Amino acid sequence: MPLLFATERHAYFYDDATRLVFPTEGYEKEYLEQIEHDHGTLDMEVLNREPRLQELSQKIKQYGLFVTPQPQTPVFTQEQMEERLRKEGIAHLCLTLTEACNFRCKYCVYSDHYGLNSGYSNEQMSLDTAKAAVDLYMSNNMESIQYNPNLSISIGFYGGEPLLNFSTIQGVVQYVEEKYKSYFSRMVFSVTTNGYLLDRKRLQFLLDHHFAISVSLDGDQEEHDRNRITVSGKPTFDIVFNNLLMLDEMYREQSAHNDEIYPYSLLITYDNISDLSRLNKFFAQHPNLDSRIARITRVKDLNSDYYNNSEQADNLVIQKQQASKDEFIGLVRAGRPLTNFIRKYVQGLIFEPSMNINYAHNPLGGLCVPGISKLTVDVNGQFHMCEKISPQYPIGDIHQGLNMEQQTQILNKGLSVIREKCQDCKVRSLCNICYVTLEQEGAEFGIPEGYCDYFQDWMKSAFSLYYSLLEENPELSIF
Amino acid sequence: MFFYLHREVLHLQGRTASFIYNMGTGKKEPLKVWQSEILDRLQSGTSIEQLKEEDNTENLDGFIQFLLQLGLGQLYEQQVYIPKIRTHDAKFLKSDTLRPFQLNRAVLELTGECNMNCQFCTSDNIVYRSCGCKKWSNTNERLSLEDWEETIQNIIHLRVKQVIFSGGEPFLRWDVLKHLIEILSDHGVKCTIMTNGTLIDEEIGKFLKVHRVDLILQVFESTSEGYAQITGQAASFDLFRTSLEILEKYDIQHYVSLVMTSLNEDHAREMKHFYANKQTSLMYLYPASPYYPDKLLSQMMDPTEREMPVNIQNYQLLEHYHNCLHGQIFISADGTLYPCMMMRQSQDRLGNIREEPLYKIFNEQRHKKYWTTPKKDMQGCDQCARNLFCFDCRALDYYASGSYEGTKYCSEIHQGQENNHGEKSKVGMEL
Repeated sequence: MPLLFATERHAYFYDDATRLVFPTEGYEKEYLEQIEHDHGTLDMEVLNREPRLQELSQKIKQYGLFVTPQPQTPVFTQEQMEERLRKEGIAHLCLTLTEACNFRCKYCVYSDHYGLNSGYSNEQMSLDTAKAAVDLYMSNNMESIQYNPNLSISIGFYGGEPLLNFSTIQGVVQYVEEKYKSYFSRMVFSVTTNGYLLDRKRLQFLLDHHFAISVSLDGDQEEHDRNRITVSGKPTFDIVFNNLLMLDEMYREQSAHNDEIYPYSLLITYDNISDLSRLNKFFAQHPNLDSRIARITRVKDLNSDYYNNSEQADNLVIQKQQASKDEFIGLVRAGRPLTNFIRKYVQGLIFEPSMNINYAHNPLGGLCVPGISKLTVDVNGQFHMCEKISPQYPIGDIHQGLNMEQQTQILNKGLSVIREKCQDCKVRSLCNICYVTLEQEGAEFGIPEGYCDYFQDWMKSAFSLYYSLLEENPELSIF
Repeated sequence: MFFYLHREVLHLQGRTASFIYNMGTGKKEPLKVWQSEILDRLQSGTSIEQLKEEDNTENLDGFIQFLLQLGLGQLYEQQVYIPKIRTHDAKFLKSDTLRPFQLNRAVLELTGECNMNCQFCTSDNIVYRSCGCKKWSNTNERLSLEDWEETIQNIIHLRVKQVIFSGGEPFLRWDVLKHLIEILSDHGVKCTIMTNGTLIDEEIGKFLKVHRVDLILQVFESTSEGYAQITGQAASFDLFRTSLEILEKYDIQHYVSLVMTSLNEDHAREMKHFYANKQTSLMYLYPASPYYPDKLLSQMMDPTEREMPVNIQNYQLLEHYHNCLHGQIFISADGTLYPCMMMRQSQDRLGNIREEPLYKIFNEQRHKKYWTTPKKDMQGCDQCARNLFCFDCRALDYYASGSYEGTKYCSEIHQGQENNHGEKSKVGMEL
């Protein structure tokens, strides 16, 4: 059934079967609103009879609205999974080098706010473990590349704080370059770090080996130090910020004469208390850093009590953030020059580009294929499907290899939730639900209460915002 | 009130012409300059009332009525946004390394030799026609049956959809051809053969039927004398007729390319008439050959003569990828890889399957330039309203202009300019 939304000027409906959006007005709009209100269905007899619904009836026929069949949610066999693994290859290998961190960020998934995840420890991944994981990944992909030459080698270093185990990073890079460079023309290493330990020597190594470096910086001193503190509770902004300036300088110097250098990126996390207008000013003053912002993410509230306190739930701070949001949207609407900060923030609200592809299905309901879309290895050499998921869903280890049976089971278990819950959803084709959202105690999956309403409301407001911007300026491009 | 085109209707504006194209029906409507300008204003959200205040009151109503009657758009009370229909995110696909690789078409040359000896045909690398039969010199050792078997397996790994056998004359290596078609059809790959159609006997006919092979016949004349004169073989027309009867008897899908040269340019009408019950298309020799059909020059260079259908499935791909080269690889008789059977200058050599595995070429992105440069990126084409529709034979223009983006064989672009004979273009004067 259609999802209705409106801009300041006009009403529209979105049809999930085709992913098309149409303006609607007059009696047609009233009719659709009534159906939405009654949770009813379209009655083709009424549509054919009622002269005021002729245009709608015509559209339904011409574009196949509402009736274009969605594919059944599939069930995978182990053989199919093995075939995919062989022919597609593993897209990304993520090595969790350590469970230790020199920071104690208040919103971290290892913190007490997130019950399903284990906490920090001093466990480190040994170079031997890392090499064994790399060998397994490479031996699979060396066969896959014959079927999928688009495949590149992509190895990410993750933590905890991965720079606490820098010797393993160096060891892996050297090992891969010596042993595998001749097989793959494209190799990408990446590291996600809090930036505290990025000294000149380490930076030089990472840039020399064409690393994609992601650094977390939450904004100016006040904002960054509110959440991002050391184990002993000390602020971290000064050191991280200075290291970033050094990174920026070295990056510019090297990329000027080497186009293989990957641009570094900044990851920003905010919560209800964050003063977004002030953060925008901060980045406007530091345009080089601003241009490197890759993602602005709100602290997640699923499976978390993070927002259950008076400070975060205060109406005044929520209103203030709304005012910043309105300010940013106003700037986009007016076609004013934008900081990258605003651009990324508004992109996050609008959820491009999946809402813009018509007649495309989403048979897995947003789920990835465990171990194939990504393979994560923990400090002990256990395999997981993602670095962000709790350790309840292991999919093999460096000794036994990938456990295809487990992988198939996890995927089918996830899909069975979608098969059961998503049939009548109005935004099913847009959904990007993920195992991390579905995870429950006892290695089960289920859609958290309220998630679907939240997602549908988000899509509704995203469409409203996007179309209100495009009505005024059809050529608008903020992506 | 506001007027917007439907999402499947494109407003295409060019330097010399503009039109509206309905991707749903495949119909074009030419626009006058003022109509195109008005439509532009309407699409960007100017109200009909405001346009009337400015100018054009009479014409405007008539124009909008015309668009409404043709079902190209709709009136709205308020300013709205109508997104264009999009079935692909072509830009996203371009950069997405996670997407499984897809080879659309492999063109395989089993031999450069031919059983005919056509007057105009040369075995050098001069590009005087788009793809089809042509002799090529066999200086290096040809691939063996075993080499081809392995190559075919590798191509199947890359999920190839269609294999075209080219030559020379592919039926000169019937033993190899037969074996490869068997493997390919076992894997559900569609096979097509470009042939002069003079070597097909009963046994071959039965085989082609069973394996659902298509043929693209290269045809030179409609009479015995004409055939003998062009091909240098007295019995060539009889051989061709015999083969044709077998194709008809076994109901084998075949298309006819009428190869137009200075030797048969006066017989175009007779040839079309003779093959009227077939699916025919005209293929010209271009001025790089002394045998090009001067009398057909204007058709040869007329872009409207080589338009292909645009629909909601392919239009975004045509915006970003090359209409012919995208998804294609060519392997010559000695195993050398090129982007196209006609593009075999040294700078276009992508590798050789004797030296390295096939996937390497793609993993190292050596094919990328050829696959991803769309027609609209060629010189002058960016200002042409027809660029989406225009079938681009890059080999011909590349050879003639010496530049990968060059466009020499287009009357639209060279209107009124000097042509390569040093005289005022006939095409330009006609227009």
